[in-house]
Amino acid sequence: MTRYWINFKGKQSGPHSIDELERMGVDKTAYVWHSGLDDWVKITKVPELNEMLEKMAGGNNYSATSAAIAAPEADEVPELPADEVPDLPPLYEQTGGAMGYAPQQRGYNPQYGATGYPAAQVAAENPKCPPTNLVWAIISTICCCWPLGVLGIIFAYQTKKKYKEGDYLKADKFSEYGAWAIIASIILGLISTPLACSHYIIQGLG
Amino acid sequence: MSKSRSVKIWILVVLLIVVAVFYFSINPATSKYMPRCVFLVVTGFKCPGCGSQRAIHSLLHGNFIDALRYNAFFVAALPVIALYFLNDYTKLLPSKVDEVITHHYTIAVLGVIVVLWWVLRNVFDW
Repeated sequence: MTRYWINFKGKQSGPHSIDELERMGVDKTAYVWHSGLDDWVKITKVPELNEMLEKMAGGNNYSATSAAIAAPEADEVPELPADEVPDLPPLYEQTGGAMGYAPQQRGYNPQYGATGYPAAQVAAENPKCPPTNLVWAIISTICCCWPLGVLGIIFAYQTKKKYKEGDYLKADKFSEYGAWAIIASIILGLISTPLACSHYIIQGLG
Repeated sequence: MSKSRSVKIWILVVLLIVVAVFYFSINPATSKYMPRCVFLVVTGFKCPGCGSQRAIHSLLHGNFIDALRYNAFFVAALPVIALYFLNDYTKLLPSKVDEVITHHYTIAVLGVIVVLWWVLRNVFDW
């Protein structure tokens, strides 16, 4: 039987069975995730849960429930358009585990919650561009005589490009690669320059 | 301006002064003990930075033409580097400037110029 993780009124919990969800009194504003789904979805998008909601609504006072859904909470929680869902790391997979997945590990938990939602959205969509280290790449190209400086410039380009494309994870990675290329360039320069000098000094002495 | 940022700027300024005094007093063209370019020693080809030390010395003594002859790319790169430093470490420049000079097309152009200079200076012995 499928177990569900739920994000309801800013709180995330799970895994729950359908019966447990029913007892929790969830409504249409909740988001759910279960093993096999790519991302969190509105609870109404899951057929069996939508059915459960309708059953709950039919059993209770329908108008009261729908009013609760339509009115204040719906205003507080602006809907996230599908194309604005930020790029996320792949799911954490727990091999052999009974639950299959642990959604908390994804690190963007209250994104759909009623509280703190706008802040989370801003943070997820507009992180600062990681440093391109461009100026240090140029300096190391000039001063350290190693082609690694050019590699630093290429990584700076990739960092900025990926950032513009919205691929923040790759941008971070390229920023880091660039920093390492520059460090390697400087270290190689510091090691090899005295060696090159000693070559000349030995020549001069001999 | 944050404290760590102003510390960084002061370290850079002090380093710059030390380097300037060093290269003013020593002439890399005649001194035996100045480091030579490893790339040149190993491969026989000039690197993009070959001649920078002599160019710095010439610039500090006011010989702009000599500096261009030693390494024109380095002389041209100095104001560009200064611009990037101002942009990265201070807030003196408008954000429009940042948008242009850190655009990935600009970075690509810089990369191409460096490689072109590297190749051409060996072809034409600049």
